[in-house]
Amino acid sequence: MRSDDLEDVLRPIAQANGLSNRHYVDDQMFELEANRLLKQQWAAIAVASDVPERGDAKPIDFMDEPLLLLRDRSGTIRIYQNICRHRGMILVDEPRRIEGAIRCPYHSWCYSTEGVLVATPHVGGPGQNACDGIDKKTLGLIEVRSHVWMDIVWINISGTAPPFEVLHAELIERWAEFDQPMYHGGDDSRFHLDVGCNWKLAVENYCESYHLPWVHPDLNTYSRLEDHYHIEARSKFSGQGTLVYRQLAAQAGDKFPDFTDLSDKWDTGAEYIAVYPNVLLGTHRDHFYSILLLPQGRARTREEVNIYYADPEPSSSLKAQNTAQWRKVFEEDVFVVEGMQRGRSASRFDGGRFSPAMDGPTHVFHAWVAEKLTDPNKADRAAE
Amino acid sequence: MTPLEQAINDRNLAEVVSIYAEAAETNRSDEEAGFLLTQAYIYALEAGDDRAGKLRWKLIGMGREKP
Repeated sequence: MRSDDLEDVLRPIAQANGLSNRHYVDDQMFELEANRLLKQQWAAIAVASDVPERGDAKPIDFMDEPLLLLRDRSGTIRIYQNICRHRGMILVDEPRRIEGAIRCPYHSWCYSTEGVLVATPHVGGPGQNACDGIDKKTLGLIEVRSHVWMDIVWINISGTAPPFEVLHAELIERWAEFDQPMYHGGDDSRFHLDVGCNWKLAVENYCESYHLPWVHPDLNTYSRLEDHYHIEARSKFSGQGTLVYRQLAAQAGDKFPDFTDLSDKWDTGAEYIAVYPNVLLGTHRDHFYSILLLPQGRARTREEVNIYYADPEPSSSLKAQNTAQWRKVFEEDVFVVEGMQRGRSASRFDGGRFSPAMDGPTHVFHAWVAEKLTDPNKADRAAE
Repeated sequence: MTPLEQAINDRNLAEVVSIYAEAAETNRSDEEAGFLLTQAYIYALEAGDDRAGKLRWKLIGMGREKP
C-alpha cells in the first residue's frame, strides 16, 4: 500500500501531515490496520497477572480472533486459538481454572494445558477412543506466538515479526534496571476505561507532553513543560520523560519502597513510553504501570490499566491513592481523544500539522503507521 | 433430576466419574462398559482426578484407547 497521504506523513516533521481521516473513521481501513498494525506485529492482549495460578485460563477476543490465555502446568504463559480441532467449537467461554484437561463442551475432545490432544472419546464409535485418520499428535491446540515482558503478554498472530527481544532490544536495554521482581498491586491496582476513539488516538495523545499544561494542570504545577524531554526511537516506540518525578507520600511521610539498585537518573526521573502498536507504559523509581489499548471497533477502545510495585504488599491506602491519582489523569485525557475522534469526521481535515518542537513523538508514531501500512515488516527486516 | 444430571449440574466431577465407573462394573456388555468407562475417563481427565490414569489403562487393555 502506498498512497499520497502516507507519503505526506513520512515527510520531515516540519512538512508532514498527520494520518488522514480514513485511518480513524473508515471500516475497511480499520480492517487493514488490524492486519498490518496489530496481527502482523507484537501486540499486547493481556497481562500475565490475569492468570496468576497454574491452570488459570482466560478467553480473550482480539481483533475477532478467539484466543485463550493460559498458564500451563509448568507455569508458562501460553496463547492458543480458543477452538477445538474437531469442529472449531469455542473451548473456554469464561475465565476459570483448568484443573486437569481442557474438555471441549461439544464432543469432549480433551487437551492438556500444554496444548496436546489427549483424548478423543467415541471417535471410532461408542467406547472406541481411537481411529484411523485421527492422529492426536497432529491435532494439538493451535498455539499463537507469544512473549511476556514487564508482565505484558505480547502476541504475534501472523508469526512473521522478528523475535520480540530483537525487535525491542533498545527498549529492553533502556529499562534494563527495571528487570527485577515487580508485583501487581492486586484488584485495587487494575481498572479499565472504555473510550470512544480509535486506538491510535490514545497512542498519539500519550506520547507527547505538549498537552500537559492544558489537560493536566495539576501535574503541571510540579512537572512543568520544560522539565520534560522527548523519547523517539523510530519504528519502535516514542514518548516523553520528566526530570521532576515526585513520589507519592502518605500524611505520615511514608512512601512506596523503591525498586532496587536504580541509578541516580531515576531519583527524580520518570518515563512514559508508547510501545507500538498498543501499549502505553509508565516507569518510576517506586512503581510501574501499563495501559493496554484493546480496539473494540474503529472508534472504540478499551484501556486496561495495571499498576505494579517493588514490594509485594505495599500500603493499601497509598496504593488506593496512587490508583486514584492515575485514574484521574487518564480520565482527563478522555475528552481529548474522543474530541479528536469526532473531529475526524470533518471532511476537510487534512491530518493536521505537527509542531516540530513539541510533536516529534507523535510524528514518529504516525511514521511507523505509514511504514507498516506500506510494508509491514520492512523496517524490521532492515534491523535484523 | 437423576443423580448423574445433578452431579453434572453441580459440576461435581468426582461424583460424575464415580457414577460412570460404578455403572461400568455392573453386568455390562463389553461395548457398554467401554462406553461408560470412556465417560468416566473423560470427566476424570477434565477434573484432574487421580483415577484418570487407571481408567485409561483399563481402556487400553480393552483395546479401546491407544497407549
